[in-house]
Amino acid sequence: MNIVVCIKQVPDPDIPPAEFKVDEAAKQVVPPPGVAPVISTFDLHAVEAALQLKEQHGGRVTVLSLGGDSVRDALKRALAMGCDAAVHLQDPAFEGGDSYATAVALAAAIRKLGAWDLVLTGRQASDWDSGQVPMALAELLDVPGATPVQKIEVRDGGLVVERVTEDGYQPLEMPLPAVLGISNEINQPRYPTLKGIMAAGRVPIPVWGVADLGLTPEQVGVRGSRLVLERLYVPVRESRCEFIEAETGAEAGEKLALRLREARLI
Amino acid sequence: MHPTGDWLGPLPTWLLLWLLTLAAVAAFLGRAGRLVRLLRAGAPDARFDHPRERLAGVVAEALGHRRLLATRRYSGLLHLFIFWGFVLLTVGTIEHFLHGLFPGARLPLLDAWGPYRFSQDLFNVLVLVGVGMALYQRLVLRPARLTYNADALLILSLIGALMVTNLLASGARVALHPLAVDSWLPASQAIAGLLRGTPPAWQEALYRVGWWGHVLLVLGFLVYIPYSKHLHIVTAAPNIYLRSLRPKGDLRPIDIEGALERDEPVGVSRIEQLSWKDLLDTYSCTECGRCQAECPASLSGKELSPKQLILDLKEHLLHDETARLLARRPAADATRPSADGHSAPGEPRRALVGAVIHDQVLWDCVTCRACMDACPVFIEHVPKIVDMRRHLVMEASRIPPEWQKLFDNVEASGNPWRFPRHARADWAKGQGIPTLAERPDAEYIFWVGCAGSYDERNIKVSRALARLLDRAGVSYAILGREESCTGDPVRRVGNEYLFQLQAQQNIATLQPYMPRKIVTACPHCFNTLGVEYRAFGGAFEVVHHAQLLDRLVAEGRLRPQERLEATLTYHDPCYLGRYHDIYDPPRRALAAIPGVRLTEMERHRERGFCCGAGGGHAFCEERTGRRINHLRVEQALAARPQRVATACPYCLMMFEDGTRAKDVYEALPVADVAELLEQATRPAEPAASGEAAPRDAATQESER
Repeated sequence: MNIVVCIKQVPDPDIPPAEFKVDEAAKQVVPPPGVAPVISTFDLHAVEAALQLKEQHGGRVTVLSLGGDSVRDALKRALAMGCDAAVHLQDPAFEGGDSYATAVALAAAIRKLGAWDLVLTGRQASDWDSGQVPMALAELLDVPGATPVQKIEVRDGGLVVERVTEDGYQPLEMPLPAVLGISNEINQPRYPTLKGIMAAGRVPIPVWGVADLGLTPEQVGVRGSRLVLERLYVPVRESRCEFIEAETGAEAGEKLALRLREARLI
Repeated sequence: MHPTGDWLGPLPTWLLLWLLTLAAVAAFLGRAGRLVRLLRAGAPDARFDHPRERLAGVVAEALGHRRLLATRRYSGLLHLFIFWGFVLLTVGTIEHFLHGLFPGARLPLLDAWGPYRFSQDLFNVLVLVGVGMALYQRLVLRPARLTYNADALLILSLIGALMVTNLLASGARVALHPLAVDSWLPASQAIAGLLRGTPPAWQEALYRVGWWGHVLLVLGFLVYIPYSKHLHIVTAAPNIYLRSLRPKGDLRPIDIEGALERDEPVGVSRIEQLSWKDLLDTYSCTECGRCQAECPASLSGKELSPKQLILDLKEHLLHDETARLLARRPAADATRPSADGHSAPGEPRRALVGAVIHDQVLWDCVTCRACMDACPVFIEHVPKIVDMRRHLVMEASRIPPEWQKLFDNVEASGNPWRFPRHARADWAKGQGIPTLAERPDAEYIFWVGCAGSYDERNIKVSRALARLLDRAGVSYAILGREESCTGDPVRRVGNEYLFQLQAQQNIATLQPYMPRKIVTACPHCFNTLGVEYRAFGGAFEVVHHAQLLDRLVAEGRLRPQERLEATLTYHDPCYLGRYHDIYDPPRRALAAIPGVRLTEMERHRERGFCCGAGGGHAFCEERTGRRINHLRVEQALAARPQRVATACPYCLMMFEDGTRAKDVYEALPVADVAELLEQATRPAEPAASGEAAPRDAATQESER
């Protein structure tokens, strides 16, 4: 089974909140200095899912990412984990794209890669949390899609997957080829082995631009986007601390309940 | 009267003795040869340097029982009796056999020498006393550390029977044929006294039963030894002689690139990838459990028992893998190393890591070295554990998620918590603490470490140390943002690759500033910088702050004057104490504070108990058993101190976490040696207001 995994590099979500800054004028996140960007967490689960499918059913895993120079580190990490090949989509024309424009570029790259059975992405990226790319890819590639997925089973040449729902999960049967958005419940991503790290350093990573994908600059990036970013800002959060005073625990509990009711919290 | 002067049917009994002896020796040598060939299947390890030092160790530890008598003296003493009995009685045994094999032969000189005779008689009794004590311990006292099996009881019975038969033969002989030298044999005389009045034929029969019984038991023992835990009587002394003389904190470095090029393993996943000395360790284990009785993991109810680890390795070697390891390789193959270094051909019957030794057993270790320091035969548990962890991390990628996170954090940000690199020196802002750029002529580089740089609690220690250095007039500077994790935790978890990346980076950072001395408040940084970086080209002169502060107090450059009325107990950090034998400097520095009364916890100095943070555990939740730091706080409370002092950022964090959990955070303040000295050396408040030095303004500021 040949699998393509689309990953996104994001600013480290684990940095202290004080380090997170946005440039309101430019409507851009300021990359935190001194902390390297990372592969979005759900995407790591997607890579792991692809590698496990490959271990069970054979085939190749190709990892795909769109972005600037630093994206090569993300691709190398995925290669170190065990992916067979990587492609870097890089072009000034890709910059500033929304989920749709990104999906257009990714879909074109997947078509160019040729024989594929399954495309995996994270259910959403940990920076914008839009969760649009997997279903846009399914639409653009004209195959069935499902997201967020917590279990994949290959059965009779097709798939049986479990979609995470609010109160449980939804089993789905679907034919291949297909696109799945992967959720974190599915697995625990592996740490690269030493051999994997060393081998990843030797894998050439081709760079594809707009022209390589047979697209025009109008179809991708800011110009291909359907979403207009009006304003980007860090919301100010206020928190207040209130002590409930009482003689006994029982009395305090009662007062607390009343106070919460008053605040319409329960 | 001669024990082998008669006939058993058609056979002269001396010939019978010959046949039995040869058969037993052949059986022993056959088994021993197999064990030696198994050792040769292990990886190479150079252990024959410094013969004098090695021999001195054998004298102190084997002949002198130093470790055996240092703790658990009851066991030590009973073993001393049995051990010296064996040494001395072996001469008697040789005599015994010579006498039987060559009728008429006698050991020259010794035979009629009273003191020698006396030693035989005395130790027959002392060994019996030792066996009695051992049986009492095993059957009545029943300490948890021992392994209760038939082997131990069989061996003790054999030893006891050896002594009884020897005494019977000797006593009967005294009764039948008194000699002048017999006045040296009080025990034999006593037995002879009991036999007085019995018919001589009985005495003769008793003599033969005793004599032959002893002979048969010796031969049986010889055959049985290499199959039992009593193999240690052969391997213990060699194992002590071949002990590691490397610096204690120096884990075996791996040539990673070379190993990958040659397609060799970078961790241990097969028994033969352990060194021959590691395999000898397994032969030498006596199941005494002294390791387990000191192990924080075992004592807190984790799966790891260092004793069981060694026994499991032995069992695996001798039962699962012997056939494969001893299989003859095709001649063409023998000259060429196998594809992956030290691996014998064929597949192991069971996976060493995972099946024989569970992953969790390896993860449970805090690398505190208590087991190794307790082991009377110098078995090296920690390096084996780390070697197998290296397999789990670098080859198998079976790693607890928290440690994956640790690796990612160290790699991404140069510290275990992923604080930004640029914030590393934020703790020093406004403190008047110079960087090397600002004070290029500094005598000391103050290596702050990750905890001292980012952890709120330990920042106070860093600041206290800086102020002390200022007060003592020590010229120092910090590296600032250039400093990065030394790699200690990732190395101990098994990520040698990431450790070496950190080492190379830090050595490159430090090298241009050399020669200079380095001072650090972190025992882990102290060990890594001072000992482990040597293998990677970084030879640095590093002192721990407890040493430096002790010296500054001794030289009168720091004068503790402010009183601290408190009973105080000092907790030994493993990487300062057991790993570097630095026990006295921190205690002296604390004792120099007026009013301080030092008291010791039961486990202190060489027997200090890990805080629970070592071996990467500062960054991983304890999920089984009790928390090690809670145990340690309970041990501290048992010493009834008013305060606890330590000299390690991780010990400090673990201790405070423990006092909070035990609800004694207020009642039992925990502090670093530097903090207490800093308070004790504060300049007196100047009489006129507004005269305070700028440094002290900063001090007060930071205390708020």
